[in-house]
Amino acid sequence: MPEVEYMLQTESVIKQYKQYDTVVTAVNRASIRVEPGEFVAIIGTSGSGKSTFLHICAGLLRADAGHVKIRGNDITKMSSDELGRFRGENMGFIFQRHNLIPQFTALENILIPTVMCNKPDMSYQENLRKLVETLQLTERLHHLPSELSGGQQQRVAIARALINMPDIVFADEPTGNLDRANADEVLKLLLETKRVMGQTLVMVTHDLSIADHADRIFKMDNGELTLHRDYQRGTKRTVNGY
Amino acid sequence: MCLYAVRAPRRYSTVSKGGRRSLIGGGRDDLGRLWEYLTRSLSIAWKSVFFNFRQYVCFFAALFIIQMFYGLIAVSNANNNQVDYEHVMEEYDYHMVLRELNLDQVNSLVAESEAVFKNDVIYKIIRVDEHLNYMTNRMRYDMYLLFNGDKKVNEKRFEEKFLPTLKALGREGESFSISRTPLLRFEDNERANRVTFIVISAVLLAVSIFLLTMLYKIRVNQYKFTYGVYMTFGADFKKLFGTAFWELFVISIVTLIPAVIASTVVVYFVYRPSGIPFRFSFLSILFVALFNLIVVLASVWMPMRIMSIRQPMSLIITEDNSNYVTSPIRSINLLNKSFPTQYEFYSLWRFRKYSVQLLTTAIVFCALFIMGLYYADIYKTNLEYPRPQFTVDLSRTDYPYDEEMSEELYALSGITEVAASDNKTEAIDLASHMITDRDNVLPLRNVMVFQSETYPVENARVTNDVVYTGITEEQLVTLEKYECTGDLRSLFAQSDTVVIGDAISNISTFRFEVGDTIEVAVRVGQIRAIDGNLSGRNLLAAQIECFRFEYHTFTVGAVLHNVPSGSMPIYFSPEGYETVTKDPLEITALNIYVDQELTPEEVGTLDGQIRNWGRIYGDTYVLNTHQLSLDSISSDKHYNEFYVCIAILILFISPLIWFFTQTLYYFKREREFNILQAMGAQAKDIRRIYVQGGLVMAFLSLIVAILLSYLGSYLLFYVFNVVEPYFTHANVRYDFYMPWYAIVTSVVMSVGCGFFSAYLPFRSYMKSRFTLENGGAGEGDEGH
Repeated sequence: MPEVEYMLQTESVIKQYKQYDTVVTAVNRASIRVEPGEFVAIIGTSGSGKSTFLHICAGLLRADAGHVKIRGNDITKMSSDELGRFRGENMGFIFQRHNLIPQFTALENILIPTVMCNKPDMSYQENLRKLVETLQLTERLHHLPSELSGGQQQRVAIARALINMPDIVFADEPTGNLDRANADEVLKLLLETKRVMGQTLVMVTHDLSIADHADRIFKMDNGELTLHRDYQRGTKRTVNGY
Repeated sequence: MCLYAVRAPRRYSTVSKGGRRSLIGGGRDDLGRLWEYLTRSLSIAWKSVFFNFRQYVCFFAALFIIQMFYGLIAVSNANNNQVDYEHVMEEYDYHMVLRELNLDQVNSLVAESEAVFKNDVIYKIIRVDEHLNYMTNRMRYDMYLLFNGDKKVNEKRFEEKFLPTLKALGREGESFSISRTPLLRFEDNERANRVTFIVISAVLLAVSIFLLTMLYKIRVNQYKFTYGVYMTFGADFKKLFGTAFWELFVISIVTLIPAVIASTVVVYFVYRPSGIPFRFSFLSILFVALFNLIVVLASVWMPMRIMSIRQPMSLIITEDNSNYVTSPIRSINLLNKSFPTQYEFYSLWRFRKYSVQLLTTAIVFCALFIMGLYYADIYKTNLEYPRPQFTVDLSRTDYPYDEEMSEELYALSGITEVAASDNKTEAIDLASHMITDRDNVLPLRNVMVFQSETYPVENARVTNDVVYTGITEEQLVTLEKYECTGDLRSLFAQSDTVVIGDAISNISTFRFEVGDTIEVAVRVGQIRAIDGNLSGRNLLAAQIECFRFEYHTFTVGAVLHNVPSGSMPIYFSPEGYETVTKDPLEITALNIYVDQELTPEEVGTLDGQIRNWGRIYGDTYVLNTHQLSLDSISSDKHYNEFYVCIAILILFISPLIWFFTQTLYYFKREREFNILQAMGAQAKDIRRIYVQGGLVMAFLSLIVAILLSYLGSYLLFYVFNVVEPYFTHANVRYDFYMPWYAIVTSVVMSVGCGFFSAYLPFRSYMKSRFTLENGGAGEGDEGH
């Protein structure tokens, strides 16, 4: 029987912080396996370590121990430069606070990953068109982030995460700063783009109604990661038909 | 890296993913990609810089200054060879002089110069002077030669082919001499110019890289969040470095031509008084561009390398929390204690890393300014330092230098001083030393304690870093130019009187007074052998312990305070000199100094007169060092003026750093001030924070500026007085002083920058705050 190549595989990831004289274990031996195309949600209370775990999975933070593999590539063994390039080509990241660069227009923010990965002009144009249409940003492309609403800013952040057509997208509470209507809208768009592009999605959220759309839900509690629900074996709820 | 770091596509294309422009052939494909990369990078950088011009003003100024001070050196370098050439061409029409030839030798050389085959003629005879040798009563000839073609090659051919012949034609007891002129050594001057150019370039390169790295580090700290986002989406070191590099590259392209023009104008006006045609070489632009490229590459490399190894999240979460600025939470706790005075003092401590970095980097340029001026003065002192125009060797005659000779030489017009050069003996060469009382040694001077079982003396210090010099009465005039306490003539009143210097390696070490006594050791035997590998103090200690000495007491009759000397000089009468060295004083080598205002023709006439004088005494060897000519060349290169110009330009870097850094620093703290105001702090409190911060920085600047300037200048003084003579055996004395006008300029600038770089951001902060609050109504609640 051939071995399954997981899109994301972590093994006993540990991350500790030192605060004054106390050592805080933010992530404690967290292990997870995510298959290609899967949507995994990680829930947990504030300070439970879920965002830290997500940042480690995306290579934005270094783990103190353990391994993180993306499609079999151990990113914990990569140098900063190798990791940077790998991240740009294979991963997308959506921050809770969108983290758009304020001096850049929406279009410029969306195109940052193409510039960082030296994509030829023509290679991303089709994808950009699709994203802009799907995320309904056509009229807002030349606006600065400060001229956009919270929902629009987050849509720009989603487009930025997807412009290079990454294999896996990490989303850190992408709807955390939005009201319910906007949150539903963003989630709908995210799931739509995921469906169209077929990416793997790993999302951190504390909103169970959003997590319910995932194939599997993991729970982070005091740095420990456990499987909470597995919808692949049951029925999934849908938002607006998705 | 900022606003226009990405290029917006003009249209949405339907070309499929992976589509590529069609270029024929792999090579052209590569060139195409390179061209696309260059144009794209430059275009992005251009937009980024000019859409955020205010953020880059500091870099425009810094790069302009860097390019200008290097431009000064590059443009002047192109003229230096011209200066050399003009000078030597003006003064010399021959490469070599052969002196004291006999007629056979002259005929031989004349015959060779008229060879049938042109290729064999390697020199041309410019002229032949004849004179009578009084000792042999025969005619002698001086022959002036100019080499044809490649003069270096032909000089060598001449030495190999003709010198053996000339020697063979010499009679017994006859000898001839060869001297080469600066015209022959012109290439050496060019080489020396190149070496000077390279050394100065290296120093300026280090200063420039330091400056730009500091500025870029400050900027990079301001944009951590942006870099964090870039790295999240795939940026590696290459990408970060490339973007940063192209931005500075674009700025430097803009400033390059104005900087070169400015430096060319300055060089032109500096050279103009010399009357030598000004020459501009387009290579200068190339040099400045290359220098600039290296500076930009090196300056961006380190900050970007450091940035690239950081974890993206750690950069993103420091959005409002740069390296320098920490959370105000702890400060807010102080609010009820003593606000804002104590609060701001505490802030100074919180931001100590920032303050230290600012003070040291900004003020180091003030110190460099003072060091630059001091170095220019050192260069000038070195240039004006009297060096002999002629050296005379009487050792092959039967006549040592005496009073009669002295009168004859001083009678020649243009001679200012005739000094003996073989009347010195280093104490270390005689295994001798000098003992003096502890009280005669200045505090903190490193002079060894004297300890001897065979000759116990209390509270004594000993050194063998002493040179014994024998002085005759007619030579006393050579000491009169130095600052002196006591009577120089007392040296000849009693044989146990000495005249003494007070410095070792040109650094004042002793405080002798007239009437003090010293003891000079004369080795008379050996108790046991000493280790031959010993040196320095260990050797001296071993000598004291293992050798047997006779100690002679001498009384100080006069103290000389500014004699240039490596070892400390002690001047003895001929009798005293013989006592300590066991050799009678016999002067056979002379240095002849001439009036600095003599023209080349007058020097030529004097040259002939001295040689004629020497022939009276027989086989006297006279060497013309061409010193006036060399001094004139050095002077017309105007290096000291350029050092002053560079020093002034460096001074302007200091305010750049002050205002750029402080503006960013206070901009970062604006959120903190907003919180403080939200908690009840009044506008006057905020103003006090700014003013107090400015005053404290001004006060610290005052101290650091003086301290760094003093240390920097003393370092130069030490290098040129102590370290350099060790390698070059130069005997120039440089005084240590702090140029008060430069210190005042530096301190005023530092203090002014320290204060105003805090006060101006305050005005900007209050203005923007009230504009926002009152819709432009102005500072309505000031002092409420």
